[in-house]
This record gives sequence, C-alpha cells and structure tokens, in this order.
Amino acid sequence: MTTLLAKSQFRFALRHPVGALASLLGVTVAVTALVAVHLLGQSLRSGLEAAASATLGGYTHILTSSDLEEADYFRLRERWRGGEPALANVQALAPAVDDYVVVGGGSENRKVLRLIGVDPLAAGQWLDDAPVLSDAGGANAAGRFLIDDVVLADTQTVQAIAAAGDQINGLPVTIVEAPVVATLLADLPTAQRLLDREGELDAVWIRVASPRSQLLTWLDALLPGVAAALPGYATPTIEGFHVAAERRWNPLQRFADASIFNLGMLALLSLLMATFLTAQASFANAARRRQERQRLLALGVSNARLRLLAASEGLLIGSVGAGLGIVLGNSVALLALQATGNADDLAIPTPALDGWVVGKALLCGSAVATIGALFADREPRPHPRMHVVAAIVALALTIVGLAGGASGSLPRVFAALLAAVGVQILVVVPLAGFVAQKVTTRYGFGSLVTRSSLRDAAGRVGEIRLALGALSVASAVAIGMGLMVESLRRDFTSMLDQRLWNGVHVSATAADAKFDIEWIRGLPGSREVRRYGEFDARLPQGMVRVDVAVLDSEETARYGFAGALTQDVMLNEVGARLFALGVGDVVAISAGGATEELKVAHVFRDFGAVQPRLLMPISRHAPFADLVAWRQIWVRTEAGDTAHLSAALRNRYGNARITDQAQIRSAAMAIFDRSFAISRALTVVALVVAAIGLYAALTALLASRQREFRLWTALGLSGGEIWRQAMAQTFCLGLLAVASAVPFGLFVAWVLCDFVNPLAFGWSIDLHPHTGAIGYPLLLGLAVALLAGATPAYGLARRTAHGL
Amino acid sequence: MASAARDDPAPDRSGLQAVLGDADAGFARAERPIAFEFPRDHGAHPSFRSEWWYVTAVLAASNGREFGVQFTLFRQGLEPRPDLGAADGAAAWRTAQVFMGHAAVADVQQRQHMHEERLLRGHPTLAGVAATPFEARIENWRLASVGSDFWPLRLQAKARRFAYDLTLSPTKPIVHQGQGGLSFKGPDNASYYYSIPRMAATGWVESNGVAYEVTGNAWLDHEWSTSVLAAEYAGWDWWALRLDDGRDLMLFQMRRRDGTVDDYNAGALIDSAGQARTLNADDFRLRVLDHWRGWPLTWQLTFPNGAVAENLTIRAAFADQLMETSVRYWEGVVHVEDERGQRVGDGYMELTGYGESD
Repeated sequence: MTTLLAKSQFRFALRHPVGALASLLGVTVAVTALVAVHLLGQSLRSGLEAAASATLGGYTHILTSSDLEEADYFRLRERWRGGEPALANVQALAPAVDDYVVVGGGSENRKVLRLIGVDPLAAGQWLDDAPVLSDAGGANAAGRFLIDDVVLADTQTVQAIAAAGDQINGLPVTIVEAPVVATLLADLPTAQRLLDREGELDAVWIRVASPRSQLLTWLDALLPGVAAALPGYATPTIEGFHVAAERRWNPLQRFADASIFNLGMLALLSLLMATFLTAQASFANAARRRQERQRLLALGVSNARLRLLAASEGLLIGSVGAGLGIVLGNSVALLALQATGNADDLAIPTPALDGWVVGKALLCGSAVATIGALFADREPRPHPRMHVVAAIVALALTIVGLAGGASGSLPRVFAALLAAVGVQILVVVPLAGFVAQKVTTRYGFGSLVTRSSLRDAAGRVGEIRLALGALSVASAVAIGMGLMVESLRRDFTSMLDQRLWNGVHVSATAADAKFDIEWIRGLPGSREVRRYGEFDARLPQGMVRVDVAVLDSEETARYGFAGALTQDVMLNEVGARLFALGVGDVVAISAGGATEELKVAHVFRDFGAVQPRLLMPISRHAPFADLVAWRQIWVRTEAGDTAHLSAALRNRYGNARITDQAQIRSAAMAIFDRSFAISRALTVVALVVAAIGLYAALTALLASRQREFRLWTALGLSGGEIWRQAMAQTFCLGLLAVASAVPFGLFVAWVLCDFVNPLAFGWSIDLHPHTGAIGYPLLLGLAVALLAGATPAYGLARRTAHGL
Repeated sequence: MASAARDDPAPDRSGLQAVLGDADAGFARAERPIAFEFPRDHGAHPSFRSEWWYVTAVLAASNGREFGVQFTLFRQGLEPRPDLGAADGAAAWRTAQVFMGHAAVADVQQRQHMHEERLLRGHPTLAGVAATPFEARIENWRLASVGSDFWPLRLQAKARRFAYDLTLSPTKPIVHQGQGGLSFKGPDNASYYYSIPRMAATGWVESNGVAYEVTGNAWLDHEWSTSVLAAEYAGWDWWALRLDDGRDLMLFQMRRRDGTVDDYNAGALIDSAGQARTLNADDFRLRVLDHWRGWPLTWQLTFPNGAVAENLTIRAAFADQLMETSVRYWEGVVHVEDERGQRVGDGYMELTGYGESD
C-alpha cells in the first residue's frame, strides 16, 4: 500500500511540478540567505576582531579615574579578590597606558604614534593565546614580550621605526611585526618606560562575564547577526571609577556589530519571505490534492500514513533545497566579499563552510519544508479569534518595540518591524480584501463575467493571504527602503553642498606634512589656503578623533553653525549619540598627558562617519600641539576649473592625495550608491520570491475555478476572454496587495529613518516624500503579480477550452 | 610532585610549551644530587625553568563531613635570572617569572569539587615566592610561615565558591625523594624534589558559603627542574597516601605511550617515625580496576617485594574531581582500602594526560 501511495505521490508531483518547484525554490532561497549571511557575518566579525587591538584578551569595559596610578589598580584587584559584590562578574583586570610617542627625528621623519601598554598576563591566559602575540612571531616573541623592550607594530610603522634607528623617544626597542596591530602595542613597563610615565596608568581594562553569553552564542550561531546588537553584558558600577563599555572605545567594533546585525536582519527578511513561499506552495499543493486525499481516506488509507507521505515529500524537497542553498549561499558570500573588496586597514578572511553551518542549513531547510507540508495537509479551518488575538499581540509588540524612540534598542525596533509584518498579513491585507468584497458586492463593474471574477477575487483573499501578504510586505519593504535611501541621499547631498568648498583638497601621508603655504597661495586660481590637523584623544566616555582648524564663521557654516568659534567645540552626531552629549555639555579631552575641558557649541551631521569626531578651534589646541598631525589643507578657489591648480600641486606634492571638489563629490556619491545597491537588490529579490509564491497560489486558485469557467465557455466565452477574466482577477489581487503596501511602506521608511539609522549608525535622516520611491515598487509589484498570474491564466484558458 | 604543567606532551596543550620555548635557554638542569639547604631551598630557584609548591590535605569537620583541599603554585621562568627586587615601578613589572595558581576544595559528602585557576606575572604585589620568611603566593592565595621561623605554615585561599584557612604543623621530617632529592623522570630528565608528609592541619574550610572547622593531615611537595617530560611519555599518575597505621606512601608512575611500565616509576614509604624507604619500579605494581569517563579512578596496589604486606585498593572518594583549568587533569581525594574492603587510609591522587572516552 505504501509503495502504491508513494507512486501516486510521485506521479502527482510530476503532473504538477509547480508546487514542488515553488517549495524547492523557497527552501533554496531561505538557505541561501542563511548560509550567505552566516559566512559573511563570521568573516566580517573575525576580520574586525583581529583588527581591533583593544579586544586583546577579550576585555569588555574600560575603567578610568582622575590621576590613576598603579596603586589604584592593585587596590581594585584586592577588592575584586576580596569578593566585592560589584565586581562579582569581573573575570579579569588589566592595567593599561594609552598615550602617544614620538618616533623619528627632524620634522621630515617625525611621527606621533599611539602606544598601548598592557599587562598581557592579566587576562588570565597564556601569552601566546592572545592572537596578536602569536601572529607576531609565536612563542619566542610572546616570551620576550615580558622580558625585553618589545613593541608590536604594523608593517608600515615597523619601517618607520627602523628608519629612526629602532628607537622610540630616543630609547632602543625591539620591533616585532604584527599585521593586525593598528597601534603600537607593548608590555606595560615597556610602554611606561617609553612614555617616561613609570607608575602611571590611563585605564584599567576589565572583562565582565555575560550571564547570557551561552544563549547569545547559540542565537548567533542559529541566525548570525541577531545577537550582535544585543548587549552581551551589563555595565557594572564600580566605586571610584568611570566605567565605559569597550565597544564605545572601539568604533570599528560598533560598526561591525551594526553591519552584522543589519545583514542578519536582511537574512531574516529573506527567511520570512521564503517561509511564506514554501507555506503557500504547500497549501496550494494540498488544495489540489484534497479530492484525491478524500478518495484515499474513503479507501481506508489512514491519516497518519498520508501525513507521513506528505512529510517525506517535504523532507526530500527540503534536503535538496538546502543542498542547493548551501552551494549558492557559499557562492553569494564569496562574490559579496570580492565585490566589496578588502579595506586598506582591514583583512577580512575568506569565508569557509564548516560542519555547523552545513548542519544548520540542512536542518532549517528540511524542517521548513516538512513542517510546511504537514500543516498544509490539514483541512483549512478559519480561526478568526486566533487571528484577532495574534493581530492584537503583534500590534502591541509593534507599539512596545517603538516606545523607546531613537534612544531605544535595535533589537526592539526590529522586533517591532517583524510584528508589524504580522499585522500587515493578519489584519491589513484581509481587511483590504473585506473592503474590496463589500465594494464589489454593492457596485457592479463591467460584464457579468467580470463582476463574477472580481467578487471571486475579493472573496478569495483569505485563501491566498500568505502569498498576497508576502507580495504586500515585499512591496512595502521596497517602498520603505526606497524612501529611506532617497531621503538619505537628499540629506547627504545637502551635507556635501554645505561641506565642500570650491577648490582642491590635499591630504598628505606624513603626519607633519610641510606645505609651502605662501607658494600655494600664489598659484593661479588659489583664493585661500586652510590647514587642518588631527589627533586621537580620550573623553571619559570613550575615544574621539579631534580635528583642529580655524573655526571662523565660514568654516563653521560648513557644519551648519552660524558664527565663529574660538573657545567651544563642535561634535558630530555619532559622538553625541554615543556619549549622550549635547549642545552646552562640557567635554574633558585628554591626550598626551594634557586634559582640557571644552563646551559643545554644536552637533553636526556626519553621514558616513562611524566614529566620534570633534572639531576644535585652533586657539584651544596648544596643550595638544605635539600630537597634532597637520596633514590636510584645503585650497579654496573661485568656481571653475581646478585642473591647473591640481596639476601644480601634484607636481610639487606627488605623494599626497589631491582631489578637487567634484572628485570628492562623485567619489562620495559612488560609495553611497554602492552601499545601498545591495539593499535595492535584496528588495527586488524579495519581490521576485513573492511573485513565485503568488504564482503557486494563483495556479491553485484558478484551477479551483475550472468548473465555473467551463460553464462560461459553454455559454460562449472564448479562450481569450477567459484569459482576460483570469488576468483581471490577478490584477485586482495584485492591486489589493500593493495598495495595502503603501501605508506599511511609509511606516517602514519612518522606522528606518527615525529608529534604525540613528541606533545603528548614529545618523538621523529627515524623511522626505519621493514619488519614484513609492511609485516604482508599486508598479513593480503590480507587474510582478501580473507576470505571476499570466501563465496560470493561460493554462486555465487552454484547459477549459480543451475540456469542452 | 604534582605537575599539571608537565602532564601532556601534546605540543599545543596549553600554551605553556610556547612560553617555555623549545630550548633550555641557559637554565640549570637537575643532574646530580645536591645538599638541600633550608630555609633557602624552600624558596624559588630561578636558575631552573619550572618549579611548584603543592599542598593537599584531607580534612574532617566535627560533624564528620570530609573535605579535600588543594593548593598549587607553579613558577615558570622566561629566562634564568631572579627578579630585579624592586618594590614598585617599571622594574617591579619587568619580571622573568610567570606564576600559575590552582586552588580546589573537594566536598566529599556533597560530591562537589570546586576549583579556580589564576595566572599572573611575578610582581611584588601580585605573585612571588620568598624563602625567609617563607611565602609562596598569588594574590590572596598564599602558603606562608606565620612568623620568622618556617613553622608553622598558614595556607589561605579565597575563591568565588570556596575558601580555606589552615595552619600546618610538622609531625614528620622532610623526605628527600629519589636519590637524596634527585628524582629521575627518565634517562635524561630529573628534578629536585622533597616532600613534607603528614603535616597536622587545623582551621576552616568554606564550601558554598558555609564555613566548617576542620582538622586533618596535609602533604607538601616542592619540586624544581628544567627538563620537560620526554615525548615518549603519555602522562603521569601520582599518589600521596596516609595510612591509618602511621605510615605514608608516595608513588608515581610515568605512563609510556606504548603502555609499558617505566623503569623510572618510583615512590617512598615513610614509617610512623618518619624514616623513609625509597621504592623503585620493581617494588610496586599498579592495576586499574575501574574507569570514569576514561579516567582510571580505582586502582589495585600490590607490593611484590613485600614493602607493604597487604594489597591495597585506592578508590576515588567521588568521581568528578577534574581540574578544568588551562591544563586539564584529575586531582582529588582518594580512600585506601585493605583486602577486606575496610578503609585503612586516605590521600590524594593526580592523573594527567588522559582523554575522556566513556
């Protein structure tokens, strides 16, 4: 009997390949997204973690206090070992100095470099367990790190120090090359000696255990990226110290988290769409087989056996789809990495499939298809109460998720978005169908056949709500993304207009570039020359890059501030949000042993920036004068061609990077467009996936109307007319889906502009209306729906005519 | 005799090999017997690469509850020189010594083994060893003389889930292991090694937040060397046993990878008066009776030459006394039984270089 049933199942699949293929495609898309994001996330994470030297030893927080000394560190250790409750979750404590040293002599070769000194053994692990040390030459380098004056540096810095006679601050050192080290890194006493700061400390690094670490690890392994935005640990309150999470000190890490999290969310969206598709295909399949199933039950075949067969088919489809998805996902990840290329200072390792990701993909793929097949096999029973309850819960989740506003958390916002998807599918689309049904019942349009088709379409919304909902959500996401991107483009362009002067920007590689200002002023077309310096500094809340310039009213106008600044500073939006600072707040800037308190006069937008940046008037830079690298100038010109000016500068300063305003603008826009190309591509993919789901759904829907159409044909309707009627029905359903997508699309755009971007990147975007951003996805969604319905409609017309 | 540091010759086992480097790098080697001089030799020997101070104790509370206590301080030299002696500043940090501490409490009644590990550089405020007055410490874990004399010793440790504070007094003299303190671990490898058996221990042990007044007996080992375990050895088993009739027994066996008995297996039988007799590989036989997850926790001990008249069974007081530290090993309380199954003693057992299998 089982063999007979299996044969029947197989023959049915051959006769109706659409359902099986749709399920296969759904699983493949889901697994592709899952695998690609997993691999990309892992690669990005390992590349960024290797680059972040501050993560040596896995420290999670940085403790600072005024006039920190070694004795404070030892006292803190005593408190910790003595069992102070506030330190109960601390796993390791390490003393650190973080300052600047001068390398090389003379103004030409002089370099100011950041030097971090830390006790590597305080992490509670053997020296060579620290990746940075093992990369720097293995065992011998690790051992010598403690007993010699060894300094780790990247290749470029090694060469610079070698040119200075292997000396730092006039003291001989042994330099060991460690490619992942972004700053100089040394053992604590070595750094103290090189800085001439014996007994002094700048910070105590601590590692706090996460009670949820195992859960987060599992979550991250299951769906990479989701855990990246969740706080892995609570920030402790430690008497006598200011405690800041390490990620605040390490913008790269924050950026990595935000990127990986967003990738994870895109994967979740793909997974969601694919699940809709698989479920819809399974429902359609089951609907087609309902009659056959009734016959088999009447013949005495048990329900359990039928379910077993359905599950087996699902398992088979799921396994094949998962296999395809693994291969495709791996290729997508490799292609994505190749397309983006490695950043200059960041080596991202090539992703590699491992047993865990393959196992996870196979499990997810087969589970989705099997469960889909099992559930689809049940008779459809409307559960209006359940839907109402689910809709209320989803609505409540949406409201709660967004309640924190821009100071809430990313996971809550994304949870709200996912809940809103539920509202869209459970409430908005069926409601639109209900309204359409009422309208078509009350008002007649066109011929009898047309009216019948329209009423049927409106009445069938509930039956294919998953497919319609998927199309609606995909269209809404496309609208939301489009509106956000266009709004950001507008804000970004106006920022460039504001920021970019006519003229040429010169950026030298040397820290103390020698520009002949008088000579540059004398060049034809040159109207004014402005110099810009930079240095890294510490605030109690974290690290910040400080730009030094003459902040006259022209300069401040570039950042949207009216008036000159001689005492106060301007802070970028990323820094303001990260450090919870605003206009009027006083910041204590520390670097090179000096500390200055300055008031924030203005917070400026800084799209593209991932780290806090502060603009300091040149009149306040004296305490940090030795640290400032004057490597940039802006040669202002009147509007017009700057080619001659650029050529002259290039002739004189061949090693410097010379770009004119137009080049900067086009490069910035190119980066902008490239950054958002992947988002656009993903929304199109989501639409295509939705179309395939709709295709499967419409095939089943139209097949169920075959008897009715045979009657119309008998009454004289031609095949072409039947096709047109079927297409009219498809058009109505598509219109219903995309029309209901508009409010949800606006909601998505609002969430992206006002919640996601500020929380993930620290940028706020004004939401601007854009007809194209709404119209294009609507037309695309409608076209996709019509395309999805064209073939089933043709098949129906042909079969109906043939049937007569 | 305990050495978590030399248990497993796998090259990547803990990073310790990497820190030590491949060459002896000018360190002294234990090659011939020397005359130990105390209190100097209670202190550190920085001209040798590796050294450890190791105390185990089996203790009983007044209500009969049984506890085991372990404290081990490992010293590894990065180069053969003493520290600069500075109390603070950069010179105090500039160490050639790395210290690793292991502390554990075995709560036999609760079948609970609690342990912690610490790793720190040598520093006057953090970790180090002094001979006079004697102190071996890693932060607030310390084994130290109470006064200017070596005796009595005080052993203190406070960890997250346990703590102990014991005063140790001698009941037997120092035993020089091997040939006058030179203990061979192979044809080319040896260490200097002495033990202080059956120290009287009194004080308290805290387990899960409850402190218990305890008394019992403790064992101290101090060993230093440069040569590491040779590649042909898979691991090391060691026992320090206290028999109720007043005798003490130390045994170790080196496990060759080919499974054969090693010529350098050795031990010492100390009578109730403190007289020690060296045992060589022919004087005792060890046979595994039972395993737990691949760790041999029950052993039959026989003495072919009649050093001890009866055959003995050594049985772990409970199974899970694993030290899940950067080097994984089993270290815990054992009970000694006679041929009738009567308990006739207790002590500590150390097993290294085993993988979990069942």
